[in-house]
Amino acid sequence: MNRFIAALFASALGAACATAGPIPTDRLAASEASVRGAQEAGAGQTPQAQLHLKLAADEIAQAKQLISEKKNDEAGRALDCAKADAELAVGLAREAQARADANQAVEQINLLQQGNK
Amino acid sequence: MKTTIAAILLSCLACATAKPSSELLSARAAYDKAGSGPATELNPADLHDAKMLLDTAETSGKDGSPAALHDAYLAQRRAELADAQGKTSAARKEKEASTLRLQALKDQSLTNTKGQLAQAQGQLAQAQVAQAQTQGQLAQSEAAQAQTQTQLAQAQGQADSEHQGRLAAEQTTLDALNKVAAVKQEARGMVITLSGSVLFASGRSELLPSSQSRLDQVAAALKLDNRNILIEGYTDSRGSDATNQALSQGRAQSVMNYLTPRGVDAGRIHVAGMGAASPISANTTADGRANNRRVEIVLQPAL
Repeated sequence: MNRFIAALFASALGAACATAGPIPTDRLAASEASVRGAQEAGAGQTPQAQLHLKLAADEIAQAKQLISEKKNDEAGRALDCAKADAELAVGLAREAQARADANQAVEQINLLQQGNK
Repeated sequence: MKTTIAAILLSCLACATAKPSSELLSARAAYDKAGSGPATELNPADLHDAKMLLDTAETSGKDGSPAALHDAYLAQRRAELADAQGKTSAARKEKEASTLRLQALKDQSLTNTKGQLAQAQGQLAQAQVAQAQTQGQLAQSEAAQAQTQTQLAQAQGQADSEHQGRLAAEQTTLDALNKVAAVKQEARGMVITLSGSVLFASGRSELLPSSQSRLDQVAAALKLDNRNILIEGYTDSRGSDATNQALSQGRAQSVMNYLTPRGVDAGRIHVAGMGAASPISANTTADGRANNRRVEIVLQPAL
């Protein structure tokens, strides 16, 4: 509840601080590209990566909403967040893949050693 | 999930004044976690990027600006990313090591299998050599057997033909002798009995001229035969035994002496004087005594 009230307060404050800078077209394109990269990296198959992929998508949607409200600076920050989440999703997906590969190699060794016994 | 996402979103965008914010604390914790992980060794550059962002967040956090939470948010993500990249590198190194180990095991297995194969091939080659030797010996044995059988067949053939030839020769002799004298087959051989009345005068051992044509025929028959010949002389019962013995011996010798120059080999001939033994008729009549005065030629069977 405290968090919610703080969020409301922050939101109101954020809106009050809004300035009408240029539309962050480049950052929007960059964050959307990062989301596509995360999807291609298989972020959808790993729970943690999937969470950050979802965050990135939501942040992009939020940024688009802010742009339509002429809150371009806030939109730019949201897009930075989206890019950071998408890149983290890529990193987590790659980690999961690398871990699975390593475990599989160990499994092959175990199988071979069992077969030789 | 949605609530969490919404809260994070709002936090990111908020211009909160709390310090140090929970976002900054989270960013510090994430950085500390990454710093104690494999990223320190394997991804120091990524860790350095995270450190720069954390420093920015620490600085901006002090004035409580809305950008401070934003910076903390970015710093946390970058720290978590550095941690993930470090773990990725560690997992990849593990996999590389495992792959090398796997290859080594496979190579070892292959080497073992090749060794076993070579051993098996060696044994096979030995077995083939042994088999070839055995077959060679078998072939030699078969050849020797075949040769032996051939020789046996030849010997049998020779024996058969010799036997046939001898039988034919004996039959020829028999046929020839049947025309001139009494011939009978006894255990001691073929016996040809020549009447003494035709051969000798009473009490004499010289051959009568009338006997010559008959003895010529006997000689011609015996010449073609190869059996041993025993010539036995006999007398009738008149006169002393000593006289009869000498007389019978002389008569047998006379026959031999006649046959030898006519082609009958002397080496085949033996003579014996039998005296008045083994009469073939009664000595009480003149005819009987004439029958008993005789010469018997025995063709002894071939051994």
